[in-house]
Amino acid sequence: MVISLLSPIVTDIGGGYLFFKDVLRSALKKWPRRELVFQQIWMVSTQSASTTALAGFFVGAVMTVQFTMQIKQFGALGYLGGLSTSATIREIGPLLIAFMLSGKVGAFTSAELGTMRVTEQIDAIRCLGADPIQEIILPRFLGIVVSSFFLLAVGLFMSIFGGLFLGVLFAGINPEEYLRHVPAIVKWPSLAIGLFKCFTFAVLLGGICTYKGYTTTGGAVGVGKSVVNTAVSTMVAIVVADWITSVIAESAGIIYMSW
Amino acid sequence: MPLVKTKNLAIQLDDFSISNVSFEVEAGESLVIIGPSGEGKTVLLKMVAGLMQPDQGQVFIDGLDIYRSEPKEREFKMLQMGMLFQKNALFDSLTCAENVAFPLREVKKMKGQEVEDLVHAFLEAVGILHAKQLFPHEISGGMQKRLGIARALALGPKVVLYDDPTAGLDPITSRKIAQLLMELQMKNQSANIYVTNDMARAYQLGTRIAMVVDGEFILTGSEEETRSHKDPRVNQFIRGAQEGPLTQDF
Repeated sequence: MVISLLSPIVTDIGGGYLFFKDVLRSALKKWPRRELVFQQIWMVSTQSASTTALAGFFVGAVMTVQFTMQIKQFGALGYLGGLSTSATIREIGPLLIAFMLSGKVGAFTSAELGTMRVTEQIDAIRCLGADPIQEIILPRFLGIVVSSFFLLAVGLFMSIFGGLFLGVLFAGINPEEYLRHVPAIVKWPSLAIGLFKCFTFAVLLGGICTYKGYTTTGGAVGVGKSVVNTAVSTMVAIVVADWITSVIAESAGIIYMSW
Repeated sequence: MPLVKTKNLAIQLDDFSISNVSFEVEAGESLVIIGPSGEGKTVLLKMVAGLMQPDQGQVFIDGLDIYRSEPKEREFKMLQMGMLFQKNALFDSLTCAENVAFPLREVKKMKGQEVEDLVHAFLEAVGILHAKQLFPHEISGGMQKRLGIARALALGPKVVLYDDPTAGLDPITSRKIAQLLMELQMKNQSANIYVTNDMARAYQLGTRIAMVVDGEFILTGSEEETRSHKDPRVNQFIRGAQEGPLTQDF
């Protein structure tokens, strides 16, 4: 029972590892054409910028509402902006933006590659003497990783704005007061942790969705399964990676503090 | 030396197996593979194309064993091969012209006017120059087939594999496509392997005919030899008879 449950997970991890190794080997051997990568960066960024901005706005808003309820009773509303922004940058921002990208970009990429696989377009690329990893996988993978930083920046900016907006509206705090403690609480390590998490999530997302799409079998049903598998696998992988990166960041923070 | 040679090819998949596939195809010659659906004709073609590794046996392209050679040597040899897929496998995000330009740009590293001239020539040769700027989903099935042929021939391959080149086409278009393939072969002196179930086209296209059935590869020979073949399965298949060994399980 346990073996039958674990078997597909282990197979997936093994297959994903080998695929990722192939992608890295291909990238080290030859860098993909610049225009293909830029095309993907542009596509992923424009596809997701508006929804990321909207989600970011509400993430910030939710954090502010939650913190307001907690700290109001201690009379520490002045710290609302700093605490809310710090939590968003370090934890909730990268996590929710990664979830959103997983639903949007991950599913799209997996469906696109899956369709290319079942309609034999990937075989056709190989048959024409080109390398499918170079032509379609690497540009998409790099596109997702690079765009994630841009989208994270958009999302975080909007989350600060959303937090500020709700802070004014819900907690009755003025904007200067809200922003006053942000530089004191949100320091470089917080930003570094956010970026580190974002990078990790983006690599996972890019790796999983391209792997799932590339290994699709079984026609339209297979494409559907790949998309669902991509959504589930990326969500689980992102949550697990969040825990691991938090532990790493915490340890690095302790070392940093001890200096 | 034959351009294509297979020696004792065998593969076992979930729902069928094929074994002992040995044949040779010379330059300017055509081999047509026929057989009931789901018996492994496309799998056989993919093994020859280097897309599916056989469990046993060897595939030689212009003398090189493609599954037992150095990757670089193999890659170079594979450029001498073109393939038309059953459902064309056209790149749906690229226009007709870009589909043909793809191998020229990505593999031959050609640029600018040189690519445009070649694309023009190929599209003109297959009669779809007017659809140059259209996307594959905007053109008819027959035109998609023609585009697939133009792309498969873009690198000037010595070996061309056609997986059901007339599938889903009306008889007139089907005959025209077959005529086009023969003219192109005559011009390029390539070794062609076709997979089809359309017996009229099989006789029109093939120098020799072979049948894949029950995991066996039966080289039936020329049109006359195929028509008078003693194997009752071959006989039933080419006549399209409802009664016979191929349908006794139904």
